[in-house]
Amino acid sequence: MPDLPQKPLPDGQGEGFRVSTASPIDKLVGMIDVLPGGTVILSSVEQVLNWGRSSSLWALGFGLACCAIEMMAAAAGRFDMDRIGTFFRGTPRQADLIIVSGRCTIKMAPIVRRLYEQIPEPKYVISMGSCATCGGPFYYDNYSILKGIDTIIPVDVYVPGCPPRPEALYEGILKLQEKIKKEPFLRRRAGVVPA
Amino acid sequence: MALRTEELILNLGPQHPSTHGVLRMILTLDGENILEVEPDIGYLHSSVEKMMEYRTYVQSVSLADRGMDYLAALANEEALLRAVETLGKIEVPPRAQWLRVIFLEFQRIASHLVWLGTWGADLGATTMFLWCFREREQVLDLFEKSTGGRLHHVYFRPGGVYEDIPDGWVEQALAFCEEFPGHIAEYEGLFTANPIFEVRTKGVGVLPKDVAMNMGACGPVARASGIAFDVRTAFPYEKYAEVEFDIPVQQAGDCFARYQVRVEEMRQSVRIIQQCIAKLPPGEIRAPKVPITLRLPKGEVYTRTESPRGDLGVFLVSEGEEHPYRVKIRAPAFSNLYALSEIMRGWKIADVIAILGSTDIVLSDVDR
Amino acid sequence: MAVKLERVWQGAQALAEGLRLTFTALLRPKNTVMYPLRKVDVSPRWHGLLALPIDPQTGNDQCIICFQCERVCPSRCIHIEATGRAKERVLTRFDIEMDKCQYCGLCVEVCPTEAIVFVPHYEASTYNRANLLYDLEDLHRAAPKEPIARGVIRGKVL
Ligand code: SF4
Ligand code: SF4
Ligand code: SF4
Repeated sequence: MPDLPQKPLPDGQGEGFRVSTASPIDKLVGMIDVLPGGTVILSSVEQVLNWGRSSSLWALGFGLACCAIEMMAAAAGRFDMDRIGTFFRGTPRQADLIIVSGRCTIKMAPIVRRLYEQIPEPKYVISMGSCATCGGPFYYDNYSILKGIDTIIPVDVYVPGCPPRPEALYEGILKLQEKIKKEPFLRRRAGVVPA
Repeated sequence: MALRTEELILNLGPQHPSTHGVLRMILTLDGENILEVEPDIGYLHSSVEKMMEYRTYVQSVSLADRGMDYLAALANEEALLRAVETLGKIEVPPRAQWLRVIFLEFQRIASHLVWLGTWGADLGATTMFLWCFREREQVLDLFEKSTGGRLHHVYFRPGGVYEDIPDGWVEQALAFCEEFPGHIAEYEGLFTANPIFEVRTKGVGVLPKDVAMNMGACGPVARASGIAFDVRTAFPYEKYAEVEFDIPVQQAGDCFARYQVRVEEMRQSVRIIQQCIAKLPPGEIRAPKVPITLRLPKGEVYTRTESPRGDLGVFLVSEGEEHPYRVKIRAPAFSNLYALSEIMRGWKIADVIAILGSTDIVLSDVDR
Repeated sequence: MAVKLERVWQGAQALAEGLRLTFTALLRPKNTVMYPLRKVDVSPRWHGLLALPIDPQTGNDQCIICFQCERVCPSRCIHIEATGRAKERVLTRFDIEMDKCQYCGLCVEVCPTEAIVFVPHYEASTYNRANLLYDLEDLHRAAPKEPIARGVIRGKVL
């Protein structure tokens, strides 16, 4: 839950008191959860929602280096990424997923970080290729390449390869879908499951 | 009362679907018109020149694939190895030379297809993107069968190529050459006579011949401005002297001319491949006794090759060790980008995308 | 006016030509590979994952511990350690960091006994980067460390 700026507290209430930022839905989820059998209902609702979320992962159309060419090839006719509900949007505001395709320089790192922050929650990151995963070929004697994109943004799935085949990227997205399908995201939002 | 107007500074990129990578253009606008363009590069600087100083020559080949122009990995390998082989006086067997020419031309086709597809997508013709990548996959299949990689091959070695082509490869390549000109005709059917495309490209972004000359533009960009220069014919390397092909030249210097030059180049590449396959001799593919830790004699050399983007030069200084002392890469995309950003003033914002796309920049080549 | 009419006529022609081309493309065989269900036949030379396959005759890999691959690797991602002398020399460590590897094939080229090879596996994505460190056991197994995503298994629908 994001930390909103705190409202001025009324008199007589001490430090540490935090105004609840839970939305009505979150409160409802919290209430259902304590009912007998509520968890079962919640998890089935979650399954339906997760199914929807996982089947339409919109990716941010954002290429860094060579791996981006394979990402484009994955989106083009032969491997047609639209079949699994992933297609590219030009702006982070409409995306759920950022595929970090290629090496990220130290000059580029703040921009990647900002793009990640601009994506609305829930958001996912796929690190595509050796360079994004850990610097890859540019790991040990290079002054300009970031040693892994996970030093600046949290990564969900790592796809190895240099460059990974389009199918390998595909498999990464399918793995991410599996992960999303298992997520207790409603209950996590309501705070009944630890994040 | 007059309307108060002022200049607007607009950032194009680094994350922009049409900048072909991570280029940032700082545009100063007056309404829709561009007053000033300042490309900000360096977002993909991977310091390959420095890294090559710490690697053996064979290891540098794998680095040249990635660190330089990644759309034309084999052209980079060729550029680096031209320098290494010239300095080390390594003889490449004829079969390997013919194979290299075949692969370089396939690489040119693949690279131009990516350019045409992405440029089409920038201009709003998504069909072009899908079709170009369809044919590109066939080229990549040929690459994969022979080199083991789709994008990065590490196929050329000092003194030859790594492996011979497998059985059936030649037939597949010939079948592709047979069918590909028909696909080029399809692209032209979509683009050349299309009035929307014409309006967006004809007469847009004219690069006059003298400016092209002064800014060091090279490759298809220069040839579209009337400079009939191609390293393949001016300074033939490998077996380019023994094949017949034309250098397409256009005088107009606009985006449309650049498009025409590249499309014609693909046709010529097919012609070269067909001739090469007809002439492919049997024999060795690798010079004997080139050790994997090759030591070059002391000295320096500058060699140039024609990559799909233009004149790709490598300056190499050796101190007689396993590693080069210094490698400097003269990147064609770098000079083309500057030539084009020079003439971008005065056009509208929408034209920037067309002009920028028509240069066929690869940011990895610009930044190295 | 005449010029304008001509433009309109040109535009109509170009539109008809474009539509003709796209509709003929509709009738051609599809080239989309329905990936999770069907797979492209990757070439035997494909630079996929690296492996030290077990030789059925000796029950061990063919590595003679010459350290050539470790030396040639441009990413320096192979780490080999061995103990013992002469005939009793055994590998104690053979790690390949598949996340740093650039799949260049130089190690395969220099290996004198063809102990280290490429296997045409490319589906090795993982949730955890530590899983991309392949040790001797993984390399002997010559398969991706994590199971391939569901739905990717040949012939089975999700
Ligand atoms: S992993 Fe390989 S292909 Fe991908 S960006 Fe890095 S060098 Fe390029
Ligand atoms: S393929 Fe290249 S980078 Fe990978 S382990 Fe072998 S030598 Fe090293
Ligand atoms: S080169 Fe081959 S034999 Fe030598 S250490 Fe490496 S795997 Fe073993």
